[in-house]
Amino acid sequence: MKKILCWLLAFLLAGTLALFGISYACSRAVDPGMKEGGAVASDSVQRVEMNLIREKIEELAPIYGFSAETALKVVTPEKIAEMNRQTALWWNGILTNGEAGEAPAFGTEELVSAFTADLTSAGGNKEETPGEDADLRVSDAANAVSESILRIVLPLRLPIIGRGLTEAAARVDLGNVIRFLLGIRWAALAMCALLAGVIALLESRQLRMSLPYIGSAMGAAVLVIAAALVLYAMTGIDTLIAGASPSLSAQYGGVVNSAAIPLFIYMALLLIGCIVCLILCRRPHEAKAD
Amino acid sequence: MNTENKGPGKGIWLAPVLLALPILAAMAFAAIRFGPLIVKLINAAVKATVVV
Repeated sequence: MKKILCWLLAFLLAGTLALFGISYACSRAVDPGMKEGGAVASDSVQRVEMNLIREKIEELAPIYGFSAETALKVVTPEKIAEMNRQTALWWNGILTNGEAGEAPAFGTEELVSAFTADLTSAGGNKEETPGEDADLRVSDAANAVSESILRIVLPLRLPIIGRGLTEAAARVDLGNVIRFLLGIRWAALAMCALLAGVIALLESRQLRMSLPYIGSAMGAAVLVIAAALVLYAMTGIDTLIAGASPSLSAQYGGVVNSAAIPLFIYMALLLIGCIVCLILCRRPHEAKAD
Repeated sequence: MNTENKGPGKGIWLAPVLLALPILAAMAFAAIRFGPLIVKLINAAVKATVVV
């Protein structure tokens, strides 16, 4: 009877260990975004964004009749980094308060000045160029470049997300829900310690006797997490996002990496724990028998 | 007096698999039953929110 109870507790421990691993990995992905200032995209992601922006500007230049070099003098990596900081703050607002703050934007003033200066130098002076038409063309070109940059740095339909958040905020406190979800990992960890303690208690407080249960639970947790990873891979979210937006794919890749690395370390630790526990429990042991 | 206390047999190495089996079965059932629906929902969410 005691053994059945111990195996039942080991089963619960396996589930709780797996839950801790998965919730810890998820929180590692979300946590940086909740800190003050949010999670700014890494340098490699910003480089990908800059390359995409360069390609987009070169594509737009012949359509709107501006020089790509002129636009690229205004759209510098520093300005893209600043936009990424604004984007991080936007996400931070959603994660902490459940409210989308001011959406990031790339100002068009400098682009308009640069394009106008280009037109002026091409036409000799401004009076020789058709005034209103030229202004309109310059303004259209600047808006097109600005929108393209926003689509690459934050490739989301902001009005839809804003509307969704407003609807959700009317029903639940999103900030609290996210904080509650992030707290699951600590609840799971406490539960793991409790279950392991109860198993040891049931085995007359002998750690060695509880090793088969705890070790098996660790091994089972590794299998469950591996299965969860396979299911995640089967959903094809990565491919779906990569197909929709290359820049979002780069940003999402960064977030997934920050969660995957600790998860793999945790799985390796569990596996080592499982092997050590099962080897130790199989060793012949000298016990006192009075 | 000391006596030698033998540990569990080789079968203990199967214990992690047996422990994980019910959870894996539940996951497989959920994946088969709700997987296509979840993938469709994710697909719809990505299409609705991501600017292509």
